[in-house]
Amino acid sequence: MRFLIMGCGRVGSGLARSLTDEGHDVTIIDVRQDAFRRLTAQFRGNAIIGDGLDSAALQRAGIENADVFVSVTQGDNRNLMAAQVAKHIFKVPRVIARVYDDSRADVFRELGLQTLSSPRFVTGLMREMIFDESDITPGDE
Amino acid sequence: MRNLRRQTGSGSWVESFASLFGGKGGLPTAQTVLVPLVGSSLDESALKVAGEVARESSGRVHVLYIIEVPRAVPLDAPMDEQVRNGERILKDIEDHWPHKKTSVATELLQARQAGPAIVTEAVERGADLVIMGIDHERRYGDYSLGSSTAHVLQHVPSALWILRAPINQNGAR
Amino acid sequence: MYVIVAGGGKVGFGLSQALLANGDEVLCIEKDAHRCAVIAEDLGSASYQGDCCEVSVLEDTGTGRADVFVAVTGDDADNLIACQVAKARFRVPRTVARINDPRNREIFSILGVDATVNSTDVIMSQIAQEMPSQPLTQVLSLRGTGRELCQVEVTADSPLLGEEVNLLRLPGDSEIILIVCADQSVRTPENGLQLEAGQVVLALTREEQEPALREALTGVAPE
Repeated sequence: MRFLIMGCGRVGSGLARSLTDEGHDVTIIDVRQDAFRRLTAQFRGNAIIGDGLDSAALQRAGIENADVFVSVTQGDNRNLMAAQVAKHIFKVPRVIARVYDDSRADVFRELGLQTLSSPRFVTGLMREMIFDESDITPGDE
Repeated sequence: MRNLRRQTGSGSWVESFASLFGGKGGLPTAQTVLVPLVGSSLDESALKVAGEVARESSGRVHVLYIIEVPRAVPLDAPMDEQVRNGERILKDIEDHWPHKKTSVATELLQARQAGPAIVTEAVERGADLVIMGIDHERRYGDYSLGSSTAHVLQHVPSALWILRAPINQNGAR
Repeated sequence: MYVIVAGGGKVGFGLSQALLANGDEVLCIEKDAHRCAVIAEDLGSASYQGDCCEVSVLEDTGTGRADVFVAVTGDDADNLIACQVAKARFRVPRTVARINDPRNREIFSILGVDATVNSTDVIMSQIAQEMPSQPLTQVLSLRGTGRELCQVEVTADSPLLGEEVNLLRLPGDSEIILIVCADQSVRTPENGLQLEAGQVVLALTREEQEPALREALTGVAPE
């Protein structure tokens, strides 16, 4: 499968590494070259400097052939805009946007966009750790 | 000062207050005194002081009741319950106004925010004194002046007296 | 009319002032507290501090009863998302977004924003109005009919020169109604009348047909 990841932060770089390790074709795009320091020297995917909101940059990153597009920059609105461009303009089959603001995530989920709202997700996990008496220990992810 | 403290809570503290200015007749003069009711425990005290000041200077008192209208509805939206409540309070003030020669006028207003509305009214009425009674409020674990009071403090061109309730009197707020 | 202006920068502030002067109900939402305090000096309670992309802010500001939502921040993504939230969640009938990158126009349109404005276009249209190369000008807009009266001068290098007026191919129901000759005499477009340099042709058209008419009468293709 061909993946295009926008945003080389902790999540983006982690996702990119694990997917390449599994043998997938991964391209990661970020506006700042500095962000790519999170990728190891062994990273076998493509890292491209460019703005994911710029269609030309997305094309350079091979969005037309991507099977999956994931936007995980720090900006909710950037993630949502890029994901919609990937879905509606470039017709990428599977598109996921990470969004910090729960209520904003809901609006776009209702519009048919797959969103992952991280505070809600973390809150859920936190509650599980608090109330679940199984052997989850602090520090587990 | 000692005199004022001793009489706090009793009906004659207005006179004590006046004595700070040298006794009866020593109050500063004001032809038009505006009292915005803010729903505090000192609304009534503010009215009393305003009445005394206006009486001393043969002036008049304007009492303002402001309904803050949420932006979800138009500014002129029918706010029946609040209007009824406000009208009842204002009518009560008019009916029980103690001063024969000092006139009192009341007004009920709908505004987005009380602070700017108070300032606008003070200017339009030509008020030379605004008197507000406020409580000691806490917010987020810290003292809060409240946005309306802060706005009036910063912007009202007339003189402004703020009466503040003792801290422990409404400490539970 | 209730207009929400998202973004209190130079554009949003100026727009809010103009709308207020026009007698509209306006609320200008600005995220930055300092900037908001500055515009509040002038806009008073027509300003509001908050993030225009947050659902709770749009709820507080009564977006549900807004007639128009205009997003004019300096960030295209913010403008897009604010308009989409206003439209999807609060059913605002008309959303308008400022775009800073002209290439985003089509994307915004596909994603449901009703209208976009970008400074490049505005400046271009200003320049175009000053340019003699596009001599078709609107003389009169016929109120309520959607029709307008345009005029074009037949110049020495005009594609109209020597053409028979009733054989011209015009878009839709656009029609030539009058020809003003160089000697100020006036002629109706009768059969056989050939156009000469110095004449002014008056045509009745519809707003949406204007670009096609412009091309037909001046030979200049729309952008």
